Amino acid sequence: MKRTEVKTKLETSVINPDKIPRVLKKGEFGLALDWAVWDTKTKEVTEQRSKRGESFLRQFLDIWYMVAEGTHPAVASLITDYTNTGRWVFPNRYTWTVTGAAGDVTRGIIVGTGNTAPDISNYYIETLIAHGVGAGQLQYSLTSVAAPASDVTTSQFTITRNFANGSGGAITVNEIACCVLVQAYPSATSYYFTIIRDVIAGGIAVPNGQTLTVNYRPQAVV
Amino acid sequence: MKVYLDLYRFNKNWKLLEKRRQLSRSLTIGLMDYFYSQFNQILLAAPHTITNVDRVLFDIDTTNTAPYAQYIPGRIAAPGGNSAIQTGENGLATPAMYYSLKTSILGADLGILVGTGSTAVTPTDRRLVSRISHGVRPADGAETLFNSYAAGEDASGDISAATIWLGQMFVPAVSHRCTSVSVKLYKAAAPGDVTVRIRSLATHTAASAFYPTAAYCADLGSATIAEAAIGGVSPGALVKATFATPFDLYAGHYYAIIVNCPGAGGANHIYWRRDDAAPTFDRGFTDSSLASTKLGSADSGATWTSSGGTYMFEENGQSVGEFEISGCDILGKAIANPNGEFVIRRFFSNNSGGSIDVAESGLTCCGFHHDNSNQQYGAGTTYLIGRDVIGPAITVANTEILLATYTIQITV
Repeated sequence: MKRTEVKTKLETSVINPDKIPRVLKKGEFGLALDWAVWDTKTKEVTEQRSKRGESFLRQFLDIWYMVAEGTHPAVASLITDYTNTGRWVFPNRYTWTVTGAAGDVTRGIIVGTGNTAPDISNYYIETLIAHGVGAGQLQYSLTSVAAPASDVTTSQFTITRNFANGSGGAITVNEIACCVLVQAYPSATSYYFTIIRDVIAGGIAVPNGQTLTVNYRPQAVV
Repeated sequence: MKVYLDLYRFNKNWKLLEKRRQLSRSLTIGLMDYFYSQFNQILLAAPHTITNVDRVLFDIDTTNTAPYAQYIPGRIAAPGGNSAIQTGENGLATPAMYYSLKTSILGADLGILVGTGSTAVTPTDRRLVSRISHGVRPADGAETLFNSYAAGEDASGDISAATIWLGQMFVPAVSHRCTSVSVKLYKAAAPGDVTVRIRSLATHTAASAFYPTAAYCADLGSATIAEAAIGGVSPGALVKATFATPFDLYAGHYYAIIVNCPGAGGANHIYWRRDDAAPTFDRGFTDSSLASTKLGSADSGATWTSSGGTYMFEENGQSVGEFEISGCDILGKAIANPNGEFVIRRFFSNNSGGSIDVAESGLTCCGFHHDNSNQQYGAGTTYLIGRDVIGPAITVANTEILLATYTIQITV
């Protein structure tokens, strides 16, 4: 089957509060995870679903702890990166950077085929779907972040990434994760940490020529 | 994710008297503002605007020139009481900057806060309804004078048009709820009613300098003085504006009393008495972006200038009582699949001489603006990221200690 590059344009904006997906209960802070599979030419949406994002990983807690404490660089924090290596990192301007470039599989939202239930100590996605147009690959757009919005009960913001299937065959996405950048002290080397991983029951079928758009929406409901 | 709010009340010998646990219901849009600004790497050129605890719009960003400089955005841990965190990172050429809350944050403003307000929480809450601040003052039984200036009266500010607004900056030494302001006025002809308002000052951009700029600063309170209460003969008298809803003024923060008269113009004037020759007001700190504490605007508060002199005023309020506020700690990180958690903790000691009812709790974190104007390199602020109503209120008697903890808990 012919493999073609599927062009995908990513647009994010502040969500209309009336359209905030509601998957959390009153008083919760968590994630809404929604996705759509659509044709970039016809705009036809073939699948659209929402669910709770279930699985903040320990790296999320480790990084937030470090930031909340204002951990001094001379002490730093030992946190496990996506290669399962402990890194001595500290809070600075780059902490939590999620905005990865197109094709970057170490920052932003990533997808995979693994379906093992999440464990709090997961350090990366189980089986990454690589970036590209080869067999079993998806083209990763950049990851973008839309500004916070709220209505009378819910505040949230949105992290978005598109995955275009130009592989020539159908691909099933079974897991979705999100990675952020944190820097080490004293080298200022950037390392990457997985903070969220979700397994999708039944998977998401992405036919050849179609695009998967994934939104993670951190939310708080009063 | 769940967040638990635990409250423990001890007597002075640390005997546990009461323990409460409730699910924290109320992380607010401020938390989204924090994560958004970091996740999206918001930079100085296109900052993200939040509303701080003084209802001032404040541009936060993640820009920081030195990779190893102290980095405070998102920080919740705090020193106790009036001990401060310096937010300006370097190059503070003007000594006054060191003493300004423009480039530092008081420990008691950051982390877990408690208060007496019981208004239901909304996602856009930006401050506690009625915060219990740091100290040992008892609750005031009646309205009390907190800030004033009455010396050396020798001139008048002239409100000769509706667009002319006059202001007087002041810095409370003691946190309290402001109930009224009196200003020394007289009138010419029939200018109509006078409006008195209090705003915090914008503190983060060269454009707004250090003024109660309308585009940035919401009224904390406003009230009207009826024209009939204002005399027509110089030097006039103090006339009182009572705020229908009292509001918090925080120790060390920068505020302005603003007076305007919508009906002024032509022969109709309002005059605000002041000391021009040798003002001695010592609760109106200045820095390099504010020449003096006497303020004026010719465009209804859109832009301001400052000049020497101090207006005659009295600012009154009531303390709801004070706690001695300890440092705010981050501790207790524990990970055991499928759960993980850490704890934010703070002690509040009541040595006010009376009981205080705690009906609300909140969390603030640091915000940062890499403002390189005026050699400050880093304006800091605090903004609310969570607020909970405690029902029923927990009564902390004199000499007792309240321990408040927030437990952040994830489960995969």
